[in-house]
Amino acid sequence: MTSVQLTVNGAAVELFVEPRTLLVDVLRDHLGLTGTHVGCAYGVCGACTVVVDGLPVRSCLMLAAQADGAQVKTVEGLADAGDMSALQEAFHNEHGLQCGFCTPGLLCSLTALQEGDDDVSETHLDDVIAGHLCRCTGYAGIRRASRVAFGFPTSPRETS
Amino acid sequence: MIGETRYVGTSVPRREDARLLQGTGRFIDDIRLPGCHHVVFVRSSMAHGILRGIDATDARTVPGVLAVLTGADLASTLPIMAPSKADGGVFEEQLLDILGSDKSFIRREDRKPVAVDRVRHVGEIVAVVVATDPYIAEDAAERVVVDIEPLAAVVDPYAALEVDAPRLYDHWPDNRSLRLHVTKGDIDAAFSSAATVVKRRFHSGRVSASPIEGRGVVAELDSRTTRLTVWSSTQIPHPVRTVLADALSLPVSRIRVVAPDVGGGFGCKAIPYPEETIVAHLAMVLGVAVKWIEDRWEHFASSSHSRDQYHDIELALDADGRILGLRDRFVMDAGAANPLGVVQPYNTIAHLCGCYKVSALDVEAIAVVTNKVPLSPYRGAGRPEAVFAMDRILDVAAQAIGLDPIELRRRNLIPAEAMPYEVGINYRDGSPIVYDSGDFPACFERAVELSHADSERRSGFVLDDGRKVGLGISTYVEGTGVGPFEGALVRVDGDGTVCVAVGACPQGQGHETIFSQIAADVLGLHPDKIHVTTGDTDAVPYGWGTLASRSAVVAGSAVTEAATELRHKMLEALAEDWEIAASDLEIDDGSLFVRGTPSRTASFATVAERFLPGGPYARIYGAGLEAQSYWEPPTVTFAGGVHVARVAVDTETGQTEILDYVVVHDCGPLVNPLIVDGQIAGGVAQGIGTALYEELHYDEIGQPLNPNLIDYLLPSADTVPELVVAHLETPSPLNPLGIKGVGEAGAISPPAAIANAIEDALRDFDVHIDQVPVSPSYVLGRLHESDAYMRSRNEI
Repeated sequence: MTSVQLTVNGAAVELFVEPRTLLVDVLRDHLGLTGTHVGCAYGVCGACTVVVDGLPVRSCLMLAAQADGAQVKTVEGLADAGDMSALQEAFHNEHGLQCGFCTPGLLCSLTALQEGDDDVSETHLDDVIAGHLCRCTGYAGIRRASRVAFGFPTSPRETS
Repeated sequence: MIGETRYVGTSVPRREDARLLQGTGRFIDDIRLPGCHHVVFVRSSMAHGILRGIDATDARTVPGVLAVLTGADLASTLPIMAPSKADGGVFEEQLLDILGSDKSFIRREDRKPVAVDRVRHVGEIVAVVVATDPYIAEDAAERVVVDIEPLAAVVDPYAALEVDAPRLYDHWPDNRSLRLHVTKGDIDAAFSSAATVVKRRFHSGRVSASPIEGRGVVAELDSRTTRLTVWSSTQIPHPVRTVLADALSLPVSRIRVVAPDVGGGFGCKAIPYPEETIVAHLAMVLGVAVKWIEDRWEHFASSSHSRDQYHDIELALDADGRILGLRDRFVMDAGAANPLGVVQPYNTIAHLCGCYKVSALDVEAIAVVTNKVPLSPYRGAGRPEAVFAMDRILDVAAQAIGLDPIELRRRNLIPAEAMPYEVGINYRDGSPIVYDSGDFPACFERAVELSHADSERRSGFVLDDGRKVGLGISTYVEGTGVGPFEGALVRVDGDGTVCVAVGACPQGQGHETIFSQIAADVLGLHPDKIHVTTGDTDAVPYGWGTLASRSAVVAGSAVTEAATELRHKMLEALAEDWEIAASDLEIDDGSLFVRGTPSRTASFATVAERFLPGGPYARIYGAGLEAQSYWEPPTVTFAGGVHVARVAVDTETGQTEILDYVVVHDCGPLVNPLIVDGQIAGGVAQGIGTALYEELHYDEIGQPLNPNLIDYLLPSADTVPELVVAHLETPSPLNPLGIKGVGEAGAISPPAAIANAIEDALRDFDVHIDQVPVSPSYVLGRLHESDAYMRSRNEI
């Protein structure tokens, strides 16, 4: 067993886990933060993405021990309990989710982008979204929601 | 409809969103039960073989392992997997009776949930490991030694039809699982009098539904009530309960099946699976809660695949390009079993003629078993395959005749005044196919207009970067809202709030939102005052589930009917009490009042309280302010639409980019435009995957070559363009809301529209696009066979 100290959504935790334990399993199984989902378990789909020391990380590819000492933010920590961040509100208003399984990963990647130092362009946004698989929405609502949240102009849903 | 349409037709924000956005949704793996053990399945690594033995001695010694069970251990307790009674399975016997034994047959496999003496595809379950922790269960599973003596694998469906082909099922005379033959009109006369006959073979590739959440099952036996609760990431809790009751010899009343939040389904979660039976059985015999969560490899190796049809399609046309007759012989590569029987192949037959007038038809479908993962419907369910064959052969015909493909279609579309239009064959529910509503030419012209498809400058030219631009069009109809029924229970509680429970079971379609909208309008209160329960067999005793573009139509009608009865009940009781006519009462915002005298009012709570057992209304009308409906559609109602794709093809790399994509769809009045557009957008994205990217490959010994999300390409955001979507809203006469289903629609036409566009782009090279996905390597292969292309390269 190995000792792992993390700060998760602002709270300090110390755990004793097998060295092979994945970060996602610590979050879900040890800390009960089941908002982070596993879609493929090998880093492609992006559903398990969380923010580790400000960067988006596939928590299915990181051992908990590798995150020792890190600040981790999950979907549960994006706003105060029961509340939603502007990004979450935009996903709601722009129909950026259907089944909601991939959503926490997208929210975490986009939150890391929002909180990072870079100037964000629309291309940048598109690149981040293209790093996640969503099987439900066809991405239209996700693109709209992220543009709203990042203050870019959006065209209304094209429908007649 | 009764009541005011205040909420139906508006984009009421989804009430499901908050929990899903805040990480407090509850998916299958989020269900945490004390003492829960974890199941890992050991699966066959061979495509075809005799199971000689399994040595689990070593695995059983791993600390934390509770049990390792093999097919031999479970053979006497778990029965053969029965044909599914889900969805269209219920209509199967009726349909086969109508077709007659000279034209149809279906054969049943004799598979057990855990293989006993034979394996028939890579991924078939051969042993079950139960341990305290998933890591330990995986460790132990690696130590199970499986001895399989290989048999020759059958991989190619045409090879499977050879007389000397290895057979999958010894009790069958050959590898055919099913034959369906449907005819109408004089097909020989149509072909002998034709001015033009065109023929091609088209293949729709084998795909995986690939929801981002795989399947999963949790089961627990309550030792006090002796009831079994099974949570499953399924689209069909009620049929799963039926299967479990049969397999475990339990009365239905002792089983509860619940679908929690489901992370996408798209059809692959709409059949009962062996894992549900096995996990439920383990909970019964081991006396602990058990959980199984599918991993991504398992999804590719055990969740149903779909499509995989080869069509030899032939079209006879007169000199003006009017269709005289259509002949199609198609082979569906079913994989190792065909759990939903007629559904997918018969859907193909029923939708082949689509929006076009076809007076003579002769279609034969053969399903063939091979050593691959079994096939079942995936979004579109046989329709994308039909439309791909039909709209491709129409483009071939247009070229043969020298007519513009758009003009050829115009000449063959069923006119609006022909509605309701009898196609002349039966649907799979046994009813004659009647297009009940719609205006195909109006849909078509709107799509042409929005895509500027008639404009000279829209296709057939070269972009500055050298890519060639082409345009493709495709039309479709879709029978939606299939029976046999769906149920709704609506109740007003003593506090005046309303509960709606439906048998439907969503996977992201926003059922809680739309059913609250429908009930709100009928009852006359705000949707927020209505709680909607889905996907729980304890909430509604009978149900089917959410599949086949049916829930808004069938469950929505049940909600309408039950809520209408409830409304009348309230009005009648209060009117009698106040000694006025019920017609003098109105309802608004959760209160009943006398028209013109709003001060004379009674809230829902007041009325509901008087309906409580012992209350004054209860004594007259019976206890409880509630109503139920099990709404049975007379038959399906037909939605339809037109897609236009414009693409740029790079002839150096074979890459295709979709430049723009237009959808005109008619699903009747939109209950929630935001959700309808979301369904269309998601469907088109999956259709783009089928058209350009997705195909499961097997090698010659039946090993899957790309069972992972690295080599099996799902469309990502950079490959799906912004869509232009327009709606026609011609109401259906077949249900109280006038609506038609929309769940699958978006996925039906993209393969045909995009393949047509690619062939159009490559028109100078006379290239034939005969399959989807149209991968870059396929395009390059076809180009390299083209003399014109090779000449053009040599000239450079």
